[in-house]
Amino acid sequence: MPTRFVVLAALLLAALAGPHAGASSAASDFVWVLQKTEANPFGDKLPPNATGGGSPGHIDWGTTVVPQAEFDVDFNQPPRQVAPGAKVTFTATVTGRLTGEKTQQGFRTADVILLVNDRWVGSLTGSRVHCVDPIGTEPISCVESDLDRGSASYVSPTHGTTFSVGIGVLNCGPCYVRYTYRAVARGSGSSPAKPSPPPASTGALGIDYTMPERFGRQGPDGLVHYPTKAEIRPQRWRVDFVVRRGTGRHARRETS
Amino acid sequence: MTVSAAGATSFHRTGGTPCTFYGLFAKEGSPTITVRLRASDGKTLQGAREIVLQDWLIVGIGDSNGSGEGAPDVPKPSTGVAARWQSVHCDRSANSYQAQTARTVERRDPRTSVTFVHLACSGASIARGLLGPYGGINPGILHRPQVNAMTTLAQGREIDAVIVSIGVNDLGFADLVKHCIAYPNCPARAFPSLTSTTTLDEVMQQRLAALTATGGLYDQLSRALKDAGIPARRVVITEYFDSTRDENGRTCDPLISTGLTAFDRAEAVWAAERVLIPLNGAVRAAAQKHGWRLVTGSQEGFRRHGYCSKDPWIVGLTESLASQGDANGTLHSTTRGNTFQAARVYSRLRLELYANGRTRRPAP
Repeated sequence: MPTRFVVLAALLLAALAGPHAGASSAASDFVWVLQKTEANPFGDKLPPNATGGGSPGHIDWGTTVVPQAEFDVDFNQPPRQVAPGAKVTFTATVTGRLTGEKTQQGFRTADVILLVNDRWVGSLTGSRVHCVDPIGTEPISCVESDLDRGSASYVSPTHGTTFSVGIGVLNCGPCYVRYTYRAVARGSGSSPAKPSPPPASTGALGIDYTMPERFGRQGPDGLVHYPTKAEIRPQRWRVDFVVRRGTGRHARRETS
Repeated sequence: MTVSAAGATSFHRTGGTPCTFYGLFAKEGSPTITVRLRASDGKTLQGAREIVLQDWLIVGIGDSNGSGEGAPDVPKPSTGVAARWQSVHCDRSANSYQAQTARTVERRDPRTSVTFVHLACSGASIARGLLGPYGGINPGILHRPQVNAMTTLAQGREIDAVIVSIGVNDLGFADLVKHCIAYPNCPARAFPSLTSTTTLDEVMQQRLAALTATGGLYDQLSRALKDAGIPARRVVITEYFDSTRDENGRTCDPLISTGLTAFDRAEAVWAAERVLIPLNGAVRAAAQKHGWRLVTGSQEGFRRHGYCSKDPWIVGLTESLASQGDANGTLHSTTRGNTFQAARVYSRLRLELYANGRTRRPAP
């Protein structure tokens, strides 16, 4: 599987970079700014035997045709600003499984695809469900891919006024989530309408945190522990931190 | 090393490389934490990050589908030893789809945690259980109304989601099943008693109308939830599953048989078409009317996993007697079926908790 992604990524880069492959952002006097995010931009309708839809960072897709299957796709959101010629990577995680019949032949796939200017330019990953009977006499056995990850990159154009990039699922028009970028002159004062909170730490130190799990632990009696009244409203909240040198600088450079 | 963050009461070092520590905060929020330390080369390094300190308070209310009836925490191991439940009065289990949804939220995001308050109770209806007191399927103590208990237990905390399964007992689901097992051609039989002048079908249609009527039961629930300060978009209501079909999607024939009497195929078709589908329609209409988030997919998802399926997600009468020592689990979802329902609910709920892919910040 990784080999497939490498090949795809290489093809993508070659296709997208084209004659501008050698151009760098150093000479650019503009930056790409995320202008709008749209789910199902063409207002596509699902076939009657399917369910699904997209939203930023997440896609649901399923079918009620045998073999019934359902997939959840999680993908990263692209940055709010992209330097011309910069490479940006989408990664996707697909959780897929059968939801119904397991004894009839069939095949399901959630091919997560990358679209640039509304054109399908490559696949990130596909979570598959096979229900096959290779010799026609054996009981049909279904194989599910529980978790599938993949990625694909694109190189932003070095000229033009707008471009779009998006993630979709093959054969699911309503699943398409499109991000449209607009060229904004550097120093023009134009900026996205609402800045998002910092996705990572700033400065020379990288800070990450977790909150201890509160629900799902088994108690001494073997039962999952349900919170007591006092635990529903505790006096203090605990947060665990990890600090590493350098992570913060790296994160800041990537998103600036 | 120096660490600072608004709202933090203390910090405690737990490790050296990498540097780990924990902080105690008086309340949820989104403070910025700043860390300054002197590195081994003598340089002073600094980093800062905004954190979203969010413990999702998720509440599960409703009926047997919400409580996990049919899927005890620990099935009855042998004769004379009882099954174990979170609540024996309510047949409430952590195997329920509501608890499994909360656990999924907990597992999927290490930067948030979950406090799950489970109040759903087998046999509860809107009138008796959600808005009025109810003793439970195995009555012991009279439980306060679930909506009322929810706000009391939250103690002023922001409630992030309320997962609801309700409506089927306002139709008299258990009595319907008993009636159809006991009498042939049950839809046309007198109901609720054999001397009634109304038939089962007529009573079901009347009760369905009472659910969705203006000022009806779903309207009353909506009002109570609003009064409890729950924004409509945080109410996630689930449709009911279809338990009447085999592995090919065909209606069971019979649905249930006791050997002497049966809930036969024609009655099962009637139950699906005249009760289940309209009930899910009522749930959908209520969600639309009141702005609740609707979770669909169970009616369709269970289509090949009904009572008589070779791969059932429905608890049978024999299985119920064996696993929990009574017949109450019959026709309810197995743990596997609950997992399916939980996945559907999570897919919907995450859009509310993580709008635009970002953790929703706690209210100030």
